[in-house]
Amino acid sequence: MKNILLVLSTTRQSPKTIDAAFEKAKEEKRGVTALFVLDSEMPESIFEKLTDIGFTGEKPSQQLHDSILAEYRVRGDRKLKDLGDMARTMAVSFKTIIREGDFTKECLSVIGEEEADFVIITRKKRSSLSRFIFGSALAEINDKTHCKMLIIDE
Amino acid sequence: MSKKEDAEKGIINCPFNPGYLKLLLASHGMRIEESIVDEIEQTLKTRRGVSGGVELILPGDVWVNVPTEEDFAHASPLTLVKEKKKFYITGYGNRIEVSIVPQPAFYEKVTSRGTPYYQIAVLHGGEVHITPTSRCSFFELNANCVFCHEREKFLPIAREFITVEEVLEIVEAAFNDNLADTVELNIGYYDSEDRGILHLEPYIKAIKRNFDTLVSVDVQPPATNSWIDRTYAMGVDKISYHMEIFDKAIFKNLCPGKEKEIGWQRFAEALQYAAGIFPSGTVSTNLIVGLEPAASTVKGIDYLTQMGIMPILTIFRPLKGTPLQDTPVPEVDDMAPIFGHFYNAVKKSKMNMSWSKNVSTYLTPLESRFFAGEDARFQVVMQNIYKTKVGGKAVRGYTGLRRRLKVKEVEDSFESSGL
Amino acid sequence: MNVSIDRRPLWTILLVRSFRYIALGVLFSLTYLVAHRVPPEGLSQEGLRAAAVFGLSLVLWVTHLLPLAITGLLAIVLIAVMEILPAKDAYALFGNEAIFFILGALILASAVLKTGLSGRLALIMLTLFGSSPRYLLFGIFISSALLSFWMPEHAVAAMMFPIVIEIARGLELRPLQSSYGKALFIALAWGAIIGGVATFLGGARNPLAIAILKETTGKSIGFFEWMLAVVPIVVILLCVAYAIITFFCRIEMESFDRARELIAEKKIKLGRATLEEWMTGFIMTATIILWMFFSHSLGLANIAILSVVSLFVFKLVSWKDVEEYVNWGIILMYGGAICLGSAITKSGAAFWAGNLIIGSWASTPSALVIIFAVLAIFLTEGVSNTAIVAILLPLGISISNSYNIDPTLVTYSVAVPAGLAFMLPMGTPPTAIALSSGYVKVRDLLLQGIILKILALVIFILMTRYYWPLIGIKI
Repeated sequence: MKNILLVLSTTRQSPKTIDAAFEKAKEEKRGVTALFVLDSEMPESIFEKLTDIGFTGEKPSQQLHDSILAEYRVRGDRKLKDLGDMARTMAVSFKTIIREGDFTKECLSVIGEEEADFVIITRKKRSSLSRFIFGSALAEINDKTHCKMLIIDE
Repeated sequence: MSKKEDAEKGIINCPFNPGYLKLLLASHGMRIEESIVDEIEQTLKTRRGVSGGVELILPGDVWVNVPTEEDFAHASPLTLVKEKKKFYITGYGNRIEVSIVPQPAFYEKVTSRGTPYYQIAVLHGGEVHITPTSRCSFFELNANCVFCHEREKFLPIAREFITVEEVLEIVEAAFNDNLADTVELNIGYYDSEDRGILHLEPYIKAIKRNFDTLVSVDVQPPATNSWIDRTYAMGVDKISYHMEIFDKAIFKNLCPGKEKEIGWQRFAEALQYAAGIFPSGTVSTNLIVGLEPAASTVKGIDYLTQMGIMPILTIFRPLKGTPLQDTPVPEVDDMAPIFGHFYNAVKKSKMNMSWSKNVSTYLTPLESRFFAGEDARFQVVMQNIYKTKVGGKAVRGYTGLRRRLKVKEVEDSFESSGL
Repeated sequence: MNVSIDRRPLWTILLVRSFRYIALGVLFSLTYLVAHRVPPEGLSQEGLRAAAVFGLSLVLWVTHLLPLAITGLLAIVLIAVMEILPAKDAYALFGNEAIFFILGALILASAVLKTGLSGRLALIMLTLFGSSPRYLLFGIFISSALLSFWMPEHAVAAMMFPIVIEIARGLELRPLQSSYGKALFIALAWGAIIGGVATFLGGARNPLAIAILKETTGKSIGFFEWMLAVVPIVVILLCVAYAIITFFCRIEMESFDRARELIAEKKIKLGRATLEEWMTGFIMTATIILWMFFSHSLGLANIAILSVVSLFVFKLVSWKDVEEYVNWGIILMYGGAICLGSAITKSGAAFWAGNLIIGSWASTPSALVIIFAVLAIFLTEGVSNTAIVAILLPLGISISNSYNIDPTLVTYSVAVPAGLAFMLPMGTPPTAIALSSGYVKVRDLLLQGIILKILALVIFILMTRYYWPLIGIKI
């Protein structure tokens, strides 16, 4: 049976979602593939603020941008390592993938590559108006995949 | 002519239902008066398959493709006659003036590589249908749809694919001669994730880059929905994934290749997904009337229209050389309620029913109004507007703008789709 | 190949995508209509046009419909086209001394960053204070603050971030869970912000304020004069801010060795100070001394540019470095803001608008000063502090005469509070940087920030009342 795909990111790391993924895996005797997406939105918005409002030069702004992303990567690695320990404890087979970029794009890409048939993912707290006007990453992912999705509210 | 003059000439006027006549002609075909057989033959030279009949224009600007070669056509109660340079359909005590769509010189032309146009393209109303390749893997797998011809029996083409340049020549010729203003590309089954749309991509891009037109495609549903996104982004304005049969058991029997390689469920999923991407009324699927019980077709109409998918109700035509050649054609009186229901279902779904115009091979939703007792004046007016130059330009402008707004991310260059 | 289709209804997409164009269209139309109306009593036609351009610039600066610098440029063009000032005069304001001063200061800062001198100074301070968690926190706070005295605060925050994040990581502080981690990043941000108001170098708004003052009144404030007036406020604020941080954020750390090791490792990695660092430090120190004591005789801009030239003479920076470290948009922003300030003051629009909007609330000079301080300190949370100065200062200077207030006092009252944005990431980049660390939540900044803001306002008002008269700044 294929692994369950657990989707995490810099802003989606709900313990509820993680627990749900491992419990489901154990129940169905499947493994877990943990995808960690380093969301580039926050560093990019800081870059814009520094250059537009702060009138800071491009180089120091870019250096900060890269530094923030590097930190997110370290955190991503650490999180995945923790999950690896959890997987060992629960005797669940475990695989990790770390990607940087747009959350929706990277999710879809990995779902396709891994041919995932079950995805577990966190839904962030947002107002319906915000979802309606600015769209929803989860709705877009859900539309474009065949696989089952379990969405856990933050 | 006044009613008195009509009576003197022996022409009987009765309440005329062009939709009914179209169904009658499409299902029963017509005989041709002996004196005009040769003349009519000229218009049939390049016809084949389900569009292998004579193209007529009935009153009300209703186009119909009428079988004449099949056995059932030779026994038709309707006959085409000519009197004082005018053509009439006679039968059941009636006589209706019609026009013949002449054989355009277009078909006589050859491409720069020497391929006759008629081997690659067919004109249907205002559309030029181009099949860049005669190949359909269902035939190779010995799992073709039971009611379908193998193209190669009729139109051998030496090369697997005609070139993009040849397609552009054909489109230019069709447009310049005012024979068409839109293009449909179709391709048989390909055993790949994209199911053939990738082969059509260069043609679509080239057409969009060189002509201000709408492009439809008729392909099999791809394995994943991201290909449907790409289909829209590459410049396709209308899409058809032909389900053919709604009843799953009959589908499995009559379309073994589609069932085995794709699956009925995938058809439904892909259509539903496409309906969320393409504009209203531009996602369609064939349902062949007469190959499954009427109740099943009606159920199919409801199922599809509720999802925003436009059913195309083609009338079963038993083609010579296929296993179903002896299957009886459906009766008009049995079909009429289906079309009445069809019109009401499309109307209820609020889908745009004015896209299809001058279609001869099936009854359009608007034409189906004749079976629901409705005038549909607004939709008819809209369709007439779409048929004008300005209306056509507005529609193309809208579709281009819609694509520009909706397609968020494109990594390759898509100048051809106006992005 | 990746294609993504926007599934929202077409009208929503159209609205979201065209909102900016619609808004700009409405704004430009309104500006035109207002400029061509019959002016109200007390305002000339020219003044009305200036007010219209001012209103447009205000909305654009607040909403960011156009980049700040481009709004500045637009203001100049409109002032010339609408004949509020002759075109020659409008564009000549680009040659303002303040612009060359800030340019020089930014190039000097780029040399400090590029040579690594700023990082070394930060590590030296952290080593001095790195003996315990509490001291380290203080060290980060004071490093940020002291560096921001002499360099743009945003650049300081950006430079300090990797150092602090490595310390946080080394101490295994968990994002969103560690109170100490939260304290470290708030200290980084607030230190930079508070330190940035101390001199002309900490933020672009301070020299801009001086430029507007000089252009509209002929008066000026010297480098040292500013420090004399503001540094005591900064010192008190730093103490208060540190107290707030330590009150709200527990220092739960016990073992601290790893932090000390990290700082030591970084220092070792840096190695000895290079000749470039020494020379840059020397030039920088000399420049600051000259600014402090010789700005009136030599001129701020002259000192700045001469220092810049010396950097190139000694090949301490290349032009490529300057291009990478300096944001040229600041020149457009400055030029526009100074031109706009000059236009609305000379045309009388500033006086009219100032009286209309603020004058009715202020019955006394003290009240006027307080009102401007309050407006500046709160508006700066949502609007760039440079824009706040460009918007409020011309109004304040124009009506200061009616209240018999020295316009330099009004300048301090707008420029200093305008730099004190503690609560929201929109207000100033250092708070956004703190948020990006993952240790700080918006509600932490809101809660602690509002307390600091109110206390800052009180401290400022008390200093204007009791300290400034001692140094000759009287209401």
